[in-house]
Amino acid sequence: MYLNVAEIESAIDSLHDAYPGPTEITTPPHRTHEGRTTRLLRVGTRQVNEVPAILLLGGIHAREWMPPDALISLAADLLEAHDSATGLGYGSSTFTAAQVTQVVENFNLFFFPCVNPDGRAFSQTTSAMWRKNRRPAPAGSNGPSCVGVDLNRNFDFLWNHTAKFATDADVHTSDNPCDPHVYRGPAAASEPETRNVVWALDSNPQIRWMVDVHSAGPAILHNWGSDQNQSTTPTDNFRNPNLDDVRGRPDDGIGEFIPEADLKTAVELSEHMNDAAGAVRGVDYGVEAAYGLYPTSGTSDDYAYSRHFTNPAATKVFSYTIECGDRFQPAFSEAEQVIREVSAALLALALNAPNVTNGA
Amino acid sequence: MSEEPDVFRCHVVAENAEALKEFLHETQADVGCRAIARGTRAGVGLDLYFRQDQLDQARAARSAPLVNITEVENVTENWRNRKEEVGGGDRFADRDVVPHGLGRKE
Repeated sequence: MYLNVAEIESAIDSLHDAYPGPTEITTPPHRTHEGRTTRLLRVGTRQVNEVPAILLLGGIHAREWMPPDALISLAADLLEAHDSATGLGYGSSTFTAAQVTQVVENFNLFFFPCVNPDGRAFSQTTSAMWRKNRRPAPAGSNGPSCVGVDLNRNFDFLWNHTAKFATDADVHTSDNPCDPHVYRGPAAASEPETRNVVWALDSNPQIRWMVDVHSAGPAILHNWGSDQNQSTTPTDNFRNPNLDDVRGRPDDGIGEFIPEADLKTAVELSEHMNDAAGAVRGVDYGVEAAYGLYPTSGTSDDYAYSRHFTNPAATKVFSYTIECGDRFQPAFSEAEQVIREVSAALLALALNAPNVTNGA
Repeated sequence: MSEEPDVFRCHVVAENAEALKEFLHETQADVGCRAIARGTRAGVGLDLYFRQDQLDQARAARSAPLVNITEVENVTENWRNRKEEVGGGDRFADRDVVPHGLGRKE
């Protein structure tokens, strides 16, 4: 059975009660538009300041039902396996007891399984294809699609797409409050759910990796989504206003700068995740930069990685999006297989992150 | 029960990315989470989501001859069935009931 919103929160409580030593619950400061609080579950035996951390997000898009379940499942697996000194197996993807220990004792994993509970509740009860949060419609706007903001267009990264991209770049974002899918919101980080993710990053500078789990694909995406990657011209970057008229066009010789070492790290860790997910039952997720057919703006993964460019004091956060499975709401028997793929991928990230990222 | 019109997942394939983008630009279709297209022997394709009226319009679009549209699934009908697989109460309200993950402990 898929978890409903109440069950996600009570699952976090139950895991903390059962395993109080290696867990901690934190509550971000911002309530959702419908008044819900959300929580993060930290899994790790070490103090927050002692070891690097990974932030795992789920449920940003309401209609994508599997990611929150996947994150609760992985947290439960890690805690149970660590407690009983066993390994973990997902199909043909296996992890030894020593590897489970390595993850739980050398990292903190911040599980934020359901960033957008208002949207999830609406999707699970009322509207199959609801993607956004439940921000009330602006005054004068009528119709059900005028409710809500796409949280994955609301982060403070090239948020103002009409000013920051070429007009013919076809950015996959909208400034129309009644767009049913990709409305960016009235301002960058206007939404409480967005600000809760920002709070998690601000509050935990030990976070060096972030994975935002979505569906469907399957695909494993790394930075950037705003333009095609390039590693030769550092001044061609999201902070350069001279590019505002040309940003986002494909194959124009102007791309978003990513240092070569960072790109190598991004790809290598993505491939580790892809290999582990693929070993579960043979599904090839594939690895690619997030710039697909169109550029995106205001996404969580680009925002998280951009922070250290904007603020040199900020931690560099290697950021990924997993697009799991091939549909939003498969039969739960299929969702279980997808959850295993996501679990294996995230464990592979944790196990390989220190070596691959070393020096980057 | 949703009163919204049913939505259909369709797999849309074009000969190349430019043709696919032309179709997407004209129809403004829901591309799912991200517009990630995959190459196959048949061309470049991705899943799109349409209400029936949108699908009719898409099939009549100027750029429609550039693509092949295959209806895969009635998403709304699937959702009606999936709702039966969403927890109805709170399985973990009793703090002694601890969630178990799907991994084999071995």
